[in-house]
Amino acid sequence: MPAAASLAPLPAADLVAQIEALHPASFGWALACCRRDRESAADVLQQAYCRILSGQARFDGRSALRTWLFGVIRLTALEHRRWSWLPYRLAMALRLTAPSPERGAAPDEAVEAHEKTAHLSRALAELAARQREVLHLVFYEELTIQEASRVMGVSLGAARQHYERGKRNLSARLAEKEGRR
Amino acid sequence: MSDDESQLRDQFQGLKQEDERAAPSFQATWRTDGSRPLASRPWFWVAIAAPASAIVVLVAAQTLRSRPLQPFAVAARHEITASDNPLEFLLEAPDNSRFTPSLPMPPGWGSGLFE
Repeated sequence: MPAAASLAPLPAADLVAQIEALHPASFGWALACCRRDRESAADVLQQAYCRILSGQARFDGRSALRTWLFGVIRLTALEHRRWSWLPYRLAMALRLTAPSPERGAAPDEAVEAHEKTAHLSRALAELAARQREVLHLVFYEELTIQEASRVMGVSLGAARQHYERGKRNLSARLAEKEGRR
Repeated sequence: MSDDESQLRDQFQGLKQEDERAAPSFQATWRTDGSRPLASRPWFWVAIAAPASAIVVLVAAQTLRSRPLQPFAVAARHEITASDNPLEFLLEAPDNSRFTPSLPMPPGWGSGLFE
């Protein structure tokens, strides 16, 4: 019997505590899966939690909790995107959703930092889904490429390819956006 | 790690800090009583409005197609013949009270003559 299969599922209270500790990272991952749309990310995260609560998604201890949770969020986001593609496009066309975060009065440094993250956010939204996902998992969640490949459900070789292409594309897009400033 | 990668990592970490500030609380998200109210989501209103407006357009198109546009002009062109006499219909019908012609009504029918 493999060693991973002998690990018992976590008790419910422990599981909830660990999921709570991962909540900010989970929200970040949900954002990456929803093209940085906060409204959709909040929906997706809540649907993923509902699945865990209702027992539709069960942690069996075969992988790290974070890998499993991110996998649940990713699948929920895919399903969400499938069902809400048309309404989302219509809402965007009618300007019903506001993708860019609000800006308040802030010191120059904070404004500059905010602009940088806004550039990054927009550049990420323009990347292919797989490239965006792997870059997010590596640079944002600080996973290794191997861990990222498990979350994404692809081979290590494919994850490496997405990583390299994504890095190139993202750098090019960021340079383009910096040039426009 | 290359310079390019460490630069990207710094930018991602800046994004992460912003996201953490804007993240909804765990308690608000981890709920057992279902999801947020539907009316607070834009796509919900789009999903309601799209089929509703399609139905209105279809009904309007159907009404315009089936409605006689110039009823008075059509009646004026119609020649009155013996077969158009409403009295003949009445005489042929076995029970006047139950007589409900399915054919188009002749001119003058229902004008108050037999009421």
